[in-house]
Amino acid sequence: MKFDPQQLRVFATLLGERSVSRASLELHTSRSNVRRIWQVLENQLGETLFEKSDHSEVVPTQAALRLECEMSSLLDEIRAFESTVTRIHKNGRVLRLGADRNIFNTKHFGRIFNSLRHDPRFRVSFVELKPCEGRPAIEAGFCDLLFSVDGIPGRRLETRELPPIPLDVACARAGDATGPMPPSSLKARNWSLAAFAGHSQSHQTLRRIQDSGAGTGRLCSQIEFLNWAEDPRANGTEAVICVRPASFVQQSRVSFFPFDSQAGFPLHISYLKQHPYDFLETTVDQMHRTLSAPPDGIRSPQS
Amino acid sequence: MEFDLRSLETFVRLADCGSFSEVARTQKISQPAVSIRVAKLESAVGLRLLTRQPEGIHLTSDGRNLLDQARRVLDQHRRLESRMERYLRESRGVVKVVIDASITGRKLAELLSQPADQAATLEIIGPGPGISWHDALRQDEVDLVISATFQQAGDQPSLKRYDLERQKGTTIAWNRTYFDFDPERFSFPDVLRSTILIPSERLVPGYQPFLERWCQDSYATLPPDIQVFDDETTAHESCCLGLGVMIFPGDVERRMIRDTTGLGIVKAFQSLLPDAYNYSIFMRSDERNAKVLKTAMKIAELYPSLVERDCHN
Repeated sequence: MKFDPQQLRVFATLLGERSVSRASLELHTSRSNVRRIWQVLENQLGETLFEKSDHSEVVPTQAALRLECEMSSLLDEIRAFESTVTRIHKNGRVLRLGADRNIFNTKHFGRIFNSLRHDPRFRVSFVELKPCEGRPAIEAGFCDLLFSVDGIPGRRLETRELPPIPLDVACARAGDATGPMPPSSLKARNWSLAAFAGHSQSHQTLRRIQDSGAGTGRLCSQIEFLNWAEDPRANGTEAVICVRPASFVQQSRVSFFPFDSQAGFPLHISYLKQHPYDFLETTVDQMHRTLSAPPDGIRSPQS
Repeated sequence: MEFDLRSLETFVRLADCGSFSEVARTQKISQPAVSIRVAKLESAVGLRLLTRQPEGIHLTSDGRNLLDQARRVLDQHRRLESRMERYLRESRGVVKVVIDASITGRKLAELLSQPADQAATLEIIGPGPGISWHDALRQDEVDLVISATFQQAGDQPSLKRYDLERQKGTTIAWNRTYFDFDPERFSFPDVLRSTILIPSERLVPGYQPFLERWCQDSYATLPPDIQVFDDETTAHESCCLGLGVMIFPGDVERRMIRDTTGLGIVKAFQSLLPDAYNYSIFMRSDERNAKVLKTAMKIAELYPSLVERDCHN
């Protein structure tokens, strides 16, 4: 004998309404579904639960009244279970954002976080992951949303592209520029691109920058860039095209200027297609809107 | 929130044993089916309940919050099932009886199965491997239990007990070819140097823990091996084969040993253990069902004839 909550709910409604059609209206389901569940319960019990009377009314049998009386403590526990779930929803479900440390440390990510922080549906927390740990973490359920530059392939995952992470130029000398720097302004300088992603993605970005008239540069790692930013006289590099870190461990001694170019590192967001949270898709839409708007909150003239 | 109880049960089992493959084995479903059930529950409640790692699963804090609640739902569900089954038995005039696997119990079951002797339609089962018979009785899964117990082992406030027979002391029996104990100068510690054959908790509840504690307390040792038996016939056969020394509570000679099989027998501790072995009927204290009460009376009536018949044999 198995009494599922759903079956008991149909049974209780039928008992209260004394009519299949009224019960089906009450439960927002079809009459045939109510009849089917009634049938299943009777088969399990091996006892008739309702007798049909005139005017399509049903009359509960002794067995039905007994079941009603005996099931009350189960229904109480089910209600308690459901109210625990509702309370967790009300307090906000935990939304774990997973990303590489470099992605966390950007203004781009800061804007995403701030757009989520006040949403009452969830409480946001961070999970720092190395690039290779992303996919296992999301499949194991350690994080709900995963940010990556390269995107995570996988049949069970949904991966979408967000607006790219813009680039800045870090200059060793403060007086090098006064505003956004076009690629051509780098032509005469000894410059590097701080690799922010996997090898091929970084090379591709480097090629795009070189093709847009910035002369020839080289790739350096994010660590090399961070070290250079703290001590820019260490080598001959004059400028580094980079994703500007939101903060440094030590004071940086370089000046940042926006890089006036279409080039930037892409940002992907991935989540499990079958995730228990039903709001992930709309949350990603919301992030997309946040990042598409200009950073100062003023609408761009085009929009 | 539409969740089904099978998914809830799978979740609780997963939380308890921590491995998908083990749950798949005990629930007799495939491993992917276990994942699907949990995923179904997770999306029904809209929460992540556990994280899946190669070395096993871990509950999330939401999962921990819901686990006890889930257990209570399942517990009430089990109770609803057994209460409805009890109702069905009542309305159909069926009485469900557990009869232990003693030799007397076997005879009683045989006698009760004869339709002419029935006060009600009887469903007779043995003490199963699942929950203990006192729990089964308290939770309405059965209506009567006929069982032996050691001293007051079966006594609980919610249960009533009628003794059919009471025997004192402990009987020690052995195959004379293998063991050369002298019944005249019998010393119990000698016995503890060989394997002993004793009733299991399902045959005589309370005896095994008592005996082990007693050996430890009085003789500071345990026998090299303890074999427990769920039924008296097998225990008796093993004793005749010389597999060990049988130590059973009460008067084993009267209960189990019909023909003289050449076993050495000593009855000991008669005054120390005046109510060592009770053969009793157990029922719920608040039992009102006339068929159950009638069946109990019938059994009490039948019992003396059963024992007498034994004596004539």
